[in-house]
Amino acid sequence: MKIGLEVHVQLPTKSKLFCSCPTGSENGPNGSICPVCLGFPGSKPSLNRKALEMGILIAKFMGCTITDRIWFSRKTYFYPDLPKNFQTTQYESPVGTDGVFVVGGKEIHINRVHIEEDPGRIKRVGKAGSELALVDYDRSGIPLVEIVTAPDMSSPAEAREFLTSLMTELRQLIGVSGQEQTMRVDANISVGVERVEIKNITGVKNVERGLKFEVIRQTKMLAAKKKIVRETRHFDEERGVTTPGREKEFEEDYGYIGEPDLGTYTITEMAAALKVPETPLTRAKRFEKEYGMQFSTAKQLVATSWDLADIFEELAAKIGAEKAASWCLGALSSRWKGLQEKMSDKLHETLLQIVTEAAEGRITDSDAKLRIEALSKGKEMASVDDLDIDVDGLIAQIADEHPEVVEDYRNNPKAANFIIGRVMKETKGKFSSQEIAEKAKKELENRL
Amino acid sequence: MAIDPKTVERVAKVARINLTEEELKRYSEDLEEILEAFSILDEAPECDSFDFNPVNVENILRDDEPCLEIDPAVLRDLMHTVDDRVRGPRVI
Amino acid sequence: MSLERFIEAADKHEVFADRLKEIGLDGCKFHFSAKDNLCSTEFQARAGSRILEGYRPPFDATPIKKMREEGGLLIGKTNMDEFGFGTFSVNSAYGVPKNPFDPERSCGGSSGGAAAAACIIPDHVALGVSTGGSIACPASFCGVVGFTPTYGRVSRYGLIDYGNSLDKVGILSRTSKDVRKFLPVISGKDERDPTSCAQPQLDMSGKVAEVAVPSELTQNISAEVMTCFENALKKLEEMGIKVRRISMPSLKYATPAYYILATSEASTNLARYCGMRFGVMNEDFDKSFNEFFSKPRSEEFGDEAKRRVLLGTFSRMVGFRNKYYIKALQVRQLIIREYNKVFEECDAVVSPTMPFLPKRFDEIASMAPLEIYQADFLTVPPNLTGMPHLSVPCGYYDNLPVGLQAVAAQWNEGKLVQFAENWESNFEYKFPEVSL
Repeated sequence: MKIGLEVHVQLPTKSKLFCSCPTGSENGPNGSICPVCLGFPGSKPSLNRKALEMGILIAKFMGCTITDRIWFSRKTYFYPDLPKNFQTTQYESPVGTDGVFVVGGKEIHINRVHIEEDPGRIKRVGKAGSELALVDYDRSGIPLVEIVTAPDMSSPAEAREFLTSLMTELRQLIGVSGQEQTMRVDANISVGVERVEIKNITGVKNVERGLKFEVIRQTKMLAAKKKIVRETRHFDEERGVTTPGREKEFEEDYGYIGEPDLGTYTITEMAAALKVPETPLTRAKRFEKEYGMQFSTAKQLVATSWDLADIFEELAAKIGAEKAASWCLGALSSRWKGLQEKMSDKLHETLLQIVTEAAEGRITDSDAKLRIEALSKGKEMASVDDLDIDVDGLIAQIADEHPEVVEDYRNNPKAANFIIGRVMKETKGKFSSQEIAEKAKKELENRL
Repeated sequence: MAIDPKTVERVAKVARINLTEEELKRYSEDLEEILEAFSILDEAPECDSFDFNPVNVENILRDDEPCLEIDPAVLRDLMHTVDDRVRGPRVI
Repeated sequence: MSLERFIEAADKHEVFADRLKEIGLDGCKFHFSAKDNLCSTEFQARAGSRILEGYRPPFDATPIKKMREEGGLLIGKTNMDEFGFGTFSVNSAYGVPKNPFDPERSCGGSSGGAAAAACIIPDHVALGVSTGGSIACPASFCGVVGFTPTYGRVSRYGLIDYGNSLDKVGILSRTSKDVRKFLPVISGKDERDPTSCAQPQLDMSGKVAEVAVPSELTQNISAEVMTCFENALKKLEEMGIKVRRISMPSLKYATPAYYILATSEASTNLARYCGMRFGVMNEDFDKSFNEFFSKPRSEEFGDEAKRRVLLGTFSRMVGFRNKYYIKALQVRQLIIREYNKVFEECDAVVSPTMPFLPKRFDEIASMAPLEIYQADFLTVPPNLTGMPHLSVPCGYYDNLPVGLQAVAAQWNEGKLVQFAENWESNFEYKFPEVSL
């Protein structure tokens, strides 16, 4: 099985690709439009520097060869969502070619990376079969990057993994929102020899669903010795099936010509000046190599928070990777939500200090944990004592009230769960279940 | 022959122009004559480069600063929108 | 100013496609007109096409805006060939402008209305647009000065596109003094048109000391025009300008290369006219989109517009693109190189502007499309290569004006303006008495 993807991702610029219309349209429909993105006669496009830089950054990140001189082309076809009846895209001179993206240790070849404009959005109204188009042009002119892979993926799950990883990376690289609708995919899949293209699928989940459906459909057809026809199909999100695209009256001829309104761009220098920041997966990979961590653990750490991964690296330098990982993935990670909200340089330093002191034995682990807990709740160090609840006393009290549990524990160690649950509830999750379990078992053992 | 009526027919379809029999015949003849004369281009020496503008237009970029100069409501009115949307033909 | 009398004459000659009904010049320093493909909010902008009937642009073209800021009053939009597609201004959906020297004859095209307005109305500045010669040709036919700057010198923002790599906004007027005055006004970088941002500072100095006459541009010229042109060359020599006879072999490829590029670009520019959003609105929403789009295009585009859309679409289609479109792009570079070589030694290339006297409408009716295209062979080379050029009246034959065209190297507008001023101090222009 061979799967290749053409991935379109909306670039998170503030204004559109060829005009200054704001991209975040809260006043829609048709609330962020101008003569340029409506294709009014006399209007002229002008390229958004930021969009070009984002495109170059993505191409660079994927290790593409950057094309020295690029231009845009007019791809002419008629459709109600396309104001000029041509799409301004890149044809002969994509920003980058021949890159690679590694997923699960496997290299997926990237054929090309280019920039183009999004068309408007059509809302279909009326009876099925005779639907009218009502068009919203707020999306017209939103910058897209198109990433075209070689048919290097061999299962729908792998395609999903590719897209998920890609979005993770792009979030860090250029700040894409990661919402499902920011990504649209054309997927090529061949189970046998002939290739079928599923056009315009929105979001990662639907890509996997569409591909899975195609695998089953094509496999069944092959088993029944039926011929698979080379065609374009559509994915029906509601029914979860692919259906043949409507027969076109004739084959479009895009008749590409260069776009003279924009001129050309020599981007080698611009590309050299752009630094590719470390992305989540490359960082996890480095952790695996540098600190001997499991890749999945490293990925989890980086995914939790970029700041936490920073703290990890600083701690690793002081107290060793193993201890650093244990603290970061344990106490810090479990309180991270609270800590992140209050993150400041000072808090960052304080956390480093607490963990270092604990690791060096100057304070106890439980003290360190309590202090971290307090910080996550925004409490000052002085008020840590407030949290100094007598857990042991509480356990003893519950055990007193319920002798049957103590009795039960003799034959069934799971009976301790009753006490653990109660304590957890009373202390409102201020202590880890592990901590409470240890104390409860100790108390119960004593009473036997 | 540089172009035949069958090709002209296809070109007209791509360009979304319906041609009458008379038009098809006439434009086919015109285009044939024009392209025949233009075949002199085949004799032109090879040139190693091409550009899309006669002057060098390079690296002209705009800063990413959003602004709306014309009230979208004015543009919507011009397009005779219904519920703020532009009406169009059947797409399926 | 008793403008009314002249405006009446202009109306009689069908100069305007849309104009102010009441003209009060109070508070204005000067009056000007704009070709109908330049957008302005207070007029329709139909570019001579029925498919743009009713289109009122929501913004002003930059050159119009700049003229207004200088104190000008835009009195109207001048008639033109549909989208600029023509040599005689007979391809307009809104009437055919008549030559001020002889109403039986064409004004030339495609800025025919602009040239006629410049001729008929004294002290008037007409903004025209040239893609392949649409300023020089009508200037020649109407006996006025027609100035086309370097490609990219004047912002095209608000100009309804014909060929984006060829379109240039310029000036038509009775005198080159207006060019000196108003070219700096309309020139300059405009962030709304990136191609205008590549220009160096406008330099209005410079001098033409030596001109070249390519033999390729003195063949296939009518005897009447040739007589006037040779007399003009003699006059130039008397004025102390050196005239050198040269050959520019690549010019024979200019007309095909121009028509292929211009129509390739035009056929994509015209794709947007489909009965949605602006201009003629199709209301048959229950039709499939192909049918819906085809209807207004088939019904509203004129004959020449259809021909050029077909030619341009064909030239960029799979299987033909390399032979025509790409080849034409290469040929343009070839011709630019040849011009630049000539400009190493000469200040300007001169030739007649048009190969014949202003044509009578009955003569035009019997010309085949190819014949009309080939009639542009003198004006096409500077237009294809983005070189600034101008046409000045250089003689009269049977009371009909004959134009001389001078081409300078890119960005050397100043040389041409000086050349025209120098010419005007040695040659007197004639303007016809307009009948009422």
